[in-house]
Amino acid sequence: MTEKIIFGIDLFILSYFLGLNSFYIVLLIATNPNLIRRLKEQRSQKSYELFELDVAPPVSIIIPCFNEETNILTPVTAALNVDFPNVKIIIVDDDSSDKTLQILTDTYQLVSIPPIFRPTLKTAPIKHYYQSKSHPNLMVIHKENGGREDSINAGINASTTPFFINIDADSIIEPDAVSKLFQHLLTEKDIHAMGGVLTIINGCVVEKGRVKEVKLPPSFWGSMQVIEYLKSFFFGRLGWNDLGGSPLISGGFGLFNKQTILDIGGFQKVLAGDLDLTLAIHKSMRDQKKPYRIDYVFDSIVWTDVPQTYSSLAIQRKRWHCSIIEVCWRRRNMLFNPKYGIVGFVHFPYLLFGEGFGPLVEGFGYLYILSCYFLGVLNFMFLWYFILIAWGVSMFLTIASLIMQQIFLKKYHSTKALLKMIFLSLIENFTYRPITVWWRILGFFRFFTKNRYTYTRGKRSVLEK
Amino acid sequence: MHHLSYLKFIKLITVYQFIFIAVHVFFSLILKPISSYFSRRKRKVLIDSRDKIRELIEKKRSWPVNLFPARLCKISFLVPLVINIDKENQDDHWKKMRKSLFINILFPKAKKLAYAKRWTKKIQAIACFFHFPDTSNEKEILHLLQDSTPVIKYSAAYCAAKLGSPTAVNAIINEMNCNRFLRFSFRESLLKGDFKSFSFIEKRLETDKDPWIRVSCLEVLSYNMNSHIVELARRDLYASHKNLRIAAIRAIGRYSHPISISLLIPLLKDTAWEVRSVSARSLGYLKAKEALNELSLSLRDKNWWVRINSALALKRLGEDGIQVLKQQSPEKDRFAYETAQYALTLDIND
Repeated sequence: MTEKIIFGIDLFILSYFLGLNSFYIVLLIATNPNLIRRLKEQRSQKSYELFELDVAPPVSIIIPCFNEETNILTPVTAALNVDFPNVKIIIVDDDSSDKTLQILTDTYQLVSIPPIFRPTLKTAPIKHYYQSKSHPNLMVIHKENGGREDSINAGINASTTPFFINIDADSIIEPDAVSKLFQHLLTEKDIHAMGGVLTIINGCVVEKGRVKEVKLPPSFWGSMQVIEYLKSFFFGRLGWNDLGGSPLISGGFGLFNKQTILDIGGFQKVLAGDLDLTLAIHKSMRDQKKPYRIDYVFDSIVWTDVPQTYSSLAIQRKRWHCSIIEVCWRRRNMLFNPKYGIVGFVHFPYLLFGEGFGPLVEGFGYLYILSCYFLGVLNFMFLWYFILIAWGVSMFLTIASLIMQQIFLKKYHSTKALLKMIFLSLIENFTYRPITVWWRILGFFRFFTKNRYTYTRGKRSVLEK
Repeated sequence: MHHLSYLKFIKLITVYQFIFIAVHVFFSLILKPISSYFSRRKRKVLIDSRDKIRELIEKKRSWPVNLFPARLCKISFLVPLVINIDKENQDDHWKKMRKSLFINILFPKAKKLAYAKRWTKKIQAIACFFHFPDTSNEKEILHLLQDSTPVIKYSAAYCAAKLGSPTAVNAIINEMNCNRFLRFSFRESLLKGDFKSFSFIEKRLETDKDPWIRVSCLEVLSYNMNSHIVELARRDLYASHKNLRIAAIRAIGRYSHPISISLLIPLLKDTAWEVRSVSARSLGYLKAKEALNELSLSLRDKNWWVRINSALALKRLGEDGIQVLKQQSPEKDRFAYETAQYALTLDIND
C-alpha cells in the first residue's frame, strides 16, 4: 500500500513537470516561425525604408513618475533620443514631494498650457499641463497623487495618438525600440497590444540616457535576474504570438491601442496591473468577437532597474506571486470557459497551474525527497528523474537562452560576462531557484492573508552616475 | 514491472524534450549566421553594382541591357540599389537611367506582386511604386490601398497622393473614414502629395453628402483654406451631424477673414456645448476683436469647456481681451472669475 502511495506521488510530481516542460517545448517550436518573420521585417525595413516615413502613424510614450529626482532626466532623455519620426512624450508627475517637477521645468523650459484634453478616463485631478519650449514633442502633466496606474490613465487622456507606449521612470528605452515595435505593428494585422524585452540596467554604464557599456550587475541577486529575465523573455513569450497572443505584457514596457484601453476602462489600480490588463484585453476582444493579436517583439529593448539585495528581491517576488493568484481569482470566470477559447483553455490554466501552483509542487518535491531520504524509502530512480526534469530542462533552457541573446541581441559581449553567465546558469538550479521557489510559496499563502495588498516601493538605484 | 514501464515512458519523453531544445538552439544558431552571410553577400554585390552604375553615370552612358544577370533583376535587389544611389546622386543622367529601370524592369514585376497574397511580396510592389510614383500603376496602387497590412496601406496612400489624380485622391478620402489608426498618415500623405489634390477634394466636398466624408475633406482642406471652401463649409455649420459641424468650424477658423468671424460669432449661442467651445477657440485663433463682447458673455457659460476656451480666446485677442479677464470678479460670477484667473497664468503665445 505504502509503495503504491509513494509511486503515485512520484508519478504525479514527474508528470506535472513533464507536462509543464512539454508545454514549454510547444512554445519553443512556435517561436521559430516568429524568429524568421522578424528577420523578414528587419530586411524589409533596411531594403525599402517605408517604416520610418514622416507619414508613419504617430505614437506617444507615457512615463509616470513619483519622487524620481535622482533619475528622471535619464528616461526622459532616452525617450527624446528615440529614432522614430512621430513620437510624443508625456511625463506624468504624480504629485512628487521632491524636486522632480522642478528639475523637469528647469531642464526642458516647461510652460503651463491650457487643459485641452477630455478626461475620458477618470483620474485624480490634474493640477497643470506643461509644454516644453526646448522640445515641442515633450509634455508634462502635474496631477494630484493617485498612483502609477492613475498617472498612466492621465497620460492616456492627454495622448492624441492611436497607440501609446508606457515605460517606467526607472527605465531607459533604446533608441531603436519604437522603430522595432512599429516594424512588427505595421506589417501585422489587428494588433491591440505589444510587449518588448526588459533587460537589466544595474551595473551598466549610462551616459546621456544611453547605455554605453553593458555589464552584469555587481550583486549575485542582480546577475541571477539577468539570466532569469533572458530566459523568460526568450523562451515562452515569442511562442505565444501564434498561440492566441501573449498572456502578459509587462508593466515596464508595452505598446497599446488607445481605444482598446479606453474600452476596458484604462489601467486599474490592482495587484499585477499588467497581467490583469492583458487578460482584460483578451476578455474584451473575445466578448466582442473581434479579431485581435497581442504580440511580443524580442529585440525591442527597455533597460530597467531591478532589486539588488536579498530582502528587496524577496519582497518583490512574494508580491508578484501573490498577484498572480489574485488575478487568477479575480478573473476565475475565464477558466475553462468556452467563450474565451484558447485563453480560457490554455492561457489561464497555464497561469494558474503552471505559474501559480508551480512553486507548491516544486517545493513539495523537495520536501518529499528529503522525507523519503530520512525514512529510508527514497527511490533513487525518481530522484534522478526529478533532477533531470525539474532542473535539467530548466538549466538547458537557461543556457539556450544565453546562446539566443548572443545571436540576436548581442548585448553582453565580454568573455568575462559570458563566462560568468554560464557559471551562474549552472548553479542557478541549486542556489537561486530553490530560494525563489520559497518566496513564491510564501507569496502564494500571502494571498490568503490581510497583507496581500501591501505594497512597499523598492529602493531606486541611480541610473546615470 | 508496471512501474518500470511508466518510468520508461517518462524517460522517453524527457529525452525527446532535450532533443527538441537542442534542435531549437541549433536552428537559432544557424539562422542568424545564414541570414548574415546572405546579407553580407548581398551587400557586396550591391556595392559592386553601385560602382558599375556610378561609372555609367560618369561616362553618361545609357543602361546596357545585360548590366545585371537575370537573378539580380528583381525588386528586392534593384530598389535598395536605387535608394543607395539616390542618396548620393541626383543628376539628370541618373534620373533618366532610373526612369528606364523602373519602367522597363521593375514595374512589370511590381504589377504582378501587387496581387500576391503575402505581405513580403506586396511590400516589394509598393516599395517600387513608392520610390517612383507613376500614373501607369494607378490601378495597382489603388488595389494596395485596400490592403489590410498597415505599412502597405499607408505607403499606397502616399503613392496615390503623389499621383494626385481624382480617382487616387477620392480613394484616399474614402479610406480615411474606415481607418482610425492610419487617419494621420492619410491626411499627411494628402498634404505632402500633389497640390492638385486640394481641388479634387474641394469638388468632392461640393457634391458628397456623406457626413464622415465631408469631415475628412474639411480636415484636409483646413490646411489650405480659401473663400470657396468657406462657402462650402458654412453649409455644414448647422448640420445635424455634430462632428461635421465641428470640422466645419475648425476649417473656417483657419481662414483669417472677416467672413469667418461673422459666421462663427452666432455659434457662441448654440445649444451644443461642443459647438460653443470650438467656436470660442476658433475665434481666439482668428484674433476676432469683433467677438469681444460675445466671448465675455461666454466666459459665464455653464459649461467649463466653453468657459476655458472663451477665456483663452480672450487672452489671444491681446490687451482688450486681457482687460476683460482682469475685470472679472468673484462676487459677480465665481466660475468666470476662476477661469479668467487660470487663463491669465497660462502661456499661450501660439
